[in-house]
Amino acid sequence: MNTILLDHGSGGGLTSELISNLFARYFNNDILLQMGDSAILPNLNEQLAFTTDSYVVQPIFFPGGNIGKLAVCGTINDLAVSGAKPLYLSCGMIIEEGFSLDKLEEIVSTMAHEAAQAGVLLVTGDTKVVEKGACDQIFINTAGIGKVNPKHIEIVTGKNIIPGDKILLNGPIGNHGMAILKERKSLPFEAPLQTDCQALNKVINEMLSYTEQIHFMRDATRGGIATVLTEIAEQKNYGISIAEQQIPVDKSVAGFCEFLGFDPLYVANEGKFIAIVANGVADELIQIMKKYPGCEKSCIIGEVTEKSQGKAILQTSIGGRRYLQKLNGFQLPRIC
Amino acid sequence: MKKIQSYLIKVTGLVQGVGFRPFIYRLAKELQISGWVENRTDGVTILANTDQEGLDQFQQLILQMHPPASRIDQITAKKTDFFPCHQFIIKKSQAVAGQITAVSPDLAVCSACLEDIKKQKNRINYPFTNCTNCGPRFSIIKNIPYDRKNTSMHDFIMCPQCEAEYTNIENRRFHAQPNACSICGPQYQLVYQNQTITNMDAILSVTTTLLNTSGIMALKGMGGFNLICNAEDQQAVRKLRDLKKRDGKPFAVMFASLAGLKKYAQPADKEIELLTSVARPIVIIKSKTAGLPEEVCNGLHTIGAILPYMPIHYLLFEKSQLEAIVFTSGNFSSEPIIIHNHVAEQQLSQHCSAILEYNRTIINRCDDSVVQVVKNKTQIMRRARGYVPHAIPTALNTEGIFATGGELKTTFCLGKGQDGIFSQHIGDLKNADTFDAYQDAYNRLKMLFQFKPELVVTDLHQDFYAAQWAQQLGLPVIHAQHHHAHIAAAMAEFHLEEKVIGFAFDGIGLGTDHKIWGSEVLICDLLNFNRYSHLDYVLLPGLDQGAKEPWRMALSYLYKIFGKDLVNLDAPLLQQIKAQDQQLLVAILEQKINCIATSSMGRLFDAVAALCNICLIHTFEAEAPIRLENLADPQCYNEYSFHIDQTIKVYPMIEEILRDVQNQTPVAKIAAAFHNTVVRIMITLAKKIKNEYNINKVILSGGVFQNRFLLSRCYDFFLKEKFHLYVANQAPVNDGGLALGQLAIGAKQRSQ
Repeated sequence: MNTILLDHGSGGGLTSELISNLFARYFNNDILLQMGDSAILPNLNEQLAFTTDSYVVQPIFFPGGNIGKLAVCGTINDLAVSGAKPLYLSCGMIIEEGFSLDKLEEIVSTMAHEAAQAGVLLVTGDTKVVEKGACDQIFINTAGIGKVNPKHIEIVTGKNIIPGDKILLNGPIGNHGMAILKERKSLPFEAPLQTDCQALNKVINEMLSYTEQIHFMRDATRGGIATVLTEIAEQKNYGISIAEQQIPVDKSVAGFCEFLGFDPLYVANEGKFIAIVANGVADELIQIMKKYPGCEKSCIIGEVTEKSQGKAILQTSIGGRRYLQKLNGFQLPRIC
Repeated sequence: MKKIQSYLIKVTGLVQGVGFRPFIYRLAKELQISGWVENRTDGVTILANTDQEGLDQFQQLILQMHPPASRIDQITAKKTDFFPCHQFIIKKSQAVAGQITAVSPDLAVCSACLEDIKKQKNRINYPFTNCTNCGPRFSIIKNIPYDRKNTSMHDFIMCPQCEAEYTNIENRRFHAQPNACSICGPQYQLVYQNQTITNMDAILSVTTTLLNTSGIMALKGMGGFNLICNAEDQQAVRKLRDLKKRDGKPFAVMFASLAGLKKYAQPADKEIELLTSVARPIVIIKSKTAGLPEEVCNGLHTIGAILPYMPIHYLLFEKSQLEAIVFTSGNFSSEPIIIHNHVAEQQLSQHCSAILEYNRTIINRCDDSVVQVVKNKTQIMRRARGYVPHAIPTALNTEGIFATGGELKTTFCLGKGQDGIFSQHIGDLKNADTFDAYQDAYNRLKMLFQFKPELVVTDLHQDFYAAQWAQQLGLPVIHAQHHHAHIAAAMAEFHLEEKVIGFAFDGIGLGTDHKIWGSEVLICDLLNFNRYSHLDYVLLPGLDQGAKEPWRMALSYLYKIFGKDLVNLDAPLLQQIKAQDQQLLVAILEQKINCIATSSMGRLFDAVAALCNICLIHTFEAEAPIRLENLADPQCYNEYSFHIDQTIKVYPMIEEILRDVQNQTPVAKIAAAFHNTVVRIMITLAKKIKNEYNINKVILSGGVFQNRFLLSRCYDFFLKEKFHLYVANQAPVNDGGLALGQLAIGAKQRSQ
């Protein structure tokens, strides 16, 4: 038995075998092991954050991670940037008939490892197997619950953002999107590229414990940091000014982006977040962030301004200024 | 017996700020007509007490003798209630709602004023000397009517002597709004090594030393700062190149005199006419082989030449004894030219030896205009100082239409009556400061022309900044296809409304099929277009990166012909490109990663230039096509093969060019044959359309037609085939002219 069969999802013997041999073994925790139709959670006595996301990345294995790592880290990060402490995850899998069990095990073990590292429990799940061709190898949905300290309740809305706030970024951008593209299309690009996928709850947790003056956070996934910044400028009707020179981009990523004609500001990340914080705590927060692996290059990339309301502005490295635009789907050339 | 009656004469056109009222006054006096003349926002109004014969003569003479910088669009007279006057007077300006009168462009200094700075005691070496025939206009106006109080001269109170000139109708400076002298007017000051020098003699002597010792200076001119250095000093020119960063664009050169210019270039009569006109633009002319350092024109055989147009230019040449100075705009990579002293000091002082600035505010930023002459016809390539805000009359009701223009080389256009009023060249709106300048210019022109927007016309490309901005104005929006607008611009200028054959060749424009067009052969009127033919689609790899790096387009064409085996071709181009880059580009093309299909003619020029190994990466916009044109041998009439079915297939030509390159055929021949082939394709299609549709009028528009070799061949071939050929003279054929086409399309659609 080394591939997934339709029967693995039928609810019969193969299903329970899969659950006990694989999911229960790796995700192993008391709540999951209740094996009821629902996971019964302890009384948390605090406001809760609840989020869900589905993962359909291709290829499912890529340098620095796999779809399982994304599914765990992505949902943890959505909770963490909302100012929540992630606690519990669910995991729903849709698997294509004939998928390798070894690969499934590798994915599940990665998920278990990432969850354990992040201090989060995978407490409930579901598995469906679909006929060949009905999905592409494996799709994963995770949902997550976290608790939010009332002091941090406005981080998700950005209500407290004011001009003068600093904009922090936790490291080089564009790695995930470009690594996935290179892998998916088997592009002959020499320099190694690796996803930046990582759980951010630990670094964010320490930042939150340090100060109540974090006014906004968001992870810069699809659409990159440009999309996060243009959206927040528009929503809050302040200007956002960032300096291209301050924004770390790995040399290989920059080279690959330039060759393909992509702007790293718009490329997806899986372990990068933007924090908008009070000026007075920015430097200290950077020092805290830098202690965490994957965040060593954390830096201040700009600030919130009274001027240029509703717009995000890039101070380019050659000395000009450019308004960042929200992308309307596919990027079109514009050089005449 | 003579029957004296009162007549109200209305004159519209460019009649303010050009000495028009004093001219009327003097003429009336001469003809012994009593009455008055007055500036109103809708033109000049004259009350004339005379008989019918006197009136006819008066109107005749106005039309014949009006001041050189003025332009009369219309003159009408009607009888009015008798209003007895003893004499003829000039009344104070009055604002009238509704129609407005033209604001004059800035004018080059006249010879009489140049005399005055040598002779008149209070104007010796005084660089702001002007009169009703010359000096700043558009660059200093804040509001209408054009009176001193509505300009940045408002800050300067005239001394008794200037006041006397200003109020003496017999004087050349009568009502010259910027009238000034060394006692009361604006002053230059030189910011040099943390000192500020205000004495003009000292300024000129330090400047002379700096220019003669490889210094670079920032000079506040009419519509913004210029950067200048000795054009014959290689070291200085190199420094200036470094200062302008990555930009490899040829520098314009200001020559001390026409005689001096002729040492370095070969201007034709028409070019001399433009060089010495009151607009005083930069004129692209053929340069002589020996001459200025290589860095000035970057190896091109043409030079952007300009003659002095402000007294300060004359003074600098006179004192420094230089013959030629590099004269480039004071800005960096697509930023707007600097107009404010504090910005110049902040941004330029670390790069320049000194900053020569003055204490009058530039209200309206205005670059130097750029023009060229092809087949004795003028082409405005950058429409700004000296031309803006001249109106372009169309035959359409354009009132209330705001045409946004494109994104690069942007200008916009306002519709007033039947006119299209172009904004000054604004530039690349991707730059935030330029985009801000665009909005400022819109607000200014809106006020100056009392423009009330009712309808917006913009490009199909939704990512263009101007298109996005226009959406927010809360007005109905029409989207005009880019190439249709290019053709419509010429149609508007030449008052054509019937169906025409339009060749719109440029770099890119978004098509209705969401692909990137650029070699469009259209059968169109102002309402509709039929895309009759175009270059077969090829991929543009890396989108804008593909436009910056011509070698990519060469590989894209080779890929279309040879597939991924192209890497095994014996092509000199490939030896210049790393194997990994070749492989990667082929992979991108194979999987269509960040690639879009394009029919761009500009990109075909790029591809051919790269195939010939002339230019693999642009150091300035359109460098590859410009270098290709520069090399083309005008004596060569060879052509390559192509065929036309649904689309234009130039693949046979690409293969032949590749063979020619392999056989080391001189690039001059290849380049010429390529140009000839493009013209042959055009003629072939035009004849086909003429046969099928019986259309004989041909319009050429789009940036590609700035190519002098191509355009003059087009004139030769199309005229030989008895086509009527139209190429815009007033509207730039590049994207700077787009707005007029958008305006016309909007006007026509609205009228339906």
